[in-house]
Amino acid sequence: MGLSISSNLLDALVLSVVRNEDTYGYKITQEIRNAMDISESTLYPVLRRLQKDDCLETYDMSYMGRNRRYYKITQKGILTHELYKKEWQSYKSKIDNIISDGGEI
Amino acid sequence: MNRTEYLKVLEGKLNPLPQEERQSAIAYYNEFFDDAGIENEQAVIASLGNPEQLAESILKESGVISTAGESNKYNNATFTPPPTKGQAINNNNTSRNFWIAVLLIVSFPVWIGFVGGVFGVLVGIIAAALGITLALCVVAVVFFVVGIIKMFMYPLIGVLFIGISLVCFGLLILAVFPLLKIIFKVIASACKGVGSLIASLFRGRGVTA
Repeated sequence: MGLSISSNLLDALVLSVVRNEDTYGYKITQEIRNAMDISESTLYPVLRRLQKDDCLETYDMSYMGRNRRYYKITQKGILTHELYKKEWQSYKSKIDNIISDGGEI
Repeated sequence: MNRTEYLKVLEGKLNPLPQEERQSAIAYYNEFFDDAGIENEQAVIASLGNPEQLAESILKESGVISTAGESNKYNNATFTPPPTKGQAINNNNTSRNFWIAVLLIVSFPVWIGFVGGVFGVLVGIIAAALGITLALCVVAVVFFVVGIIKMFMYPLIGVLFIGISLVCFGLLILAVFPLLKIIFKVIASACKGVGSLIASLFRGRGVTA
């Protein structure tokens, strides 16, 4: 049994990772897998969506004779990330409240 | 299945996408396999899962609706916080209001009688109060005037009339006017009460959060 992840939360994680440092797909997946066991198939659609929403942009760099596509956070991405952070804090404390002591209303 | 086969199937399934998006996706996964290293090829394939399902999730994100069954990877409990109380009330309100309106319309014959009756009583009370006041005023004034006139001919009768007139004035000042004030206050707050009752029917359970 595990706690499953929503696409919103996944967006937040991806934005966090990329905000920290411009990076490429495989590396993003590795980072997130430190936190949870997501399938690698989950990530690409998330990256695409964030790109379409102008939260991420890409650039290519040559690496060992092949191309590597790097993801970079945009201003909008930073703003969105801040929003997610706030929501997460609020959500997290509500959950903690209930899970640890049965909740006070 | 090896990497090349996998990607070939994937590319086929991504056919509905515009070419640029398809190429982007394939490039991404090619890169992914490269970064993972040859030794991890099978592990990556295992982790990526069925290429048809992978294609589906990509198509779904692109807005291309596929018919071959939904994969529920994203339909998990969201962590977005519950809507604020204000929002919840608004959502409840529109359907509540609708049903309240329907109920009112349907039960019209019932409540209109009651309301009409209450209204009638109120009107009656007001009319009576006003009538009495008016009568007293008229009597007071008329009797005063007549009394003065009579004073010249029949002093005692004149005094009587003036006496009655003064009594009327006294009644008006001491009892009637304050009573009128009270009656009007009662009516005013009754109207307010009815107003807020109706408003709360439509507002729903809570006030602002």
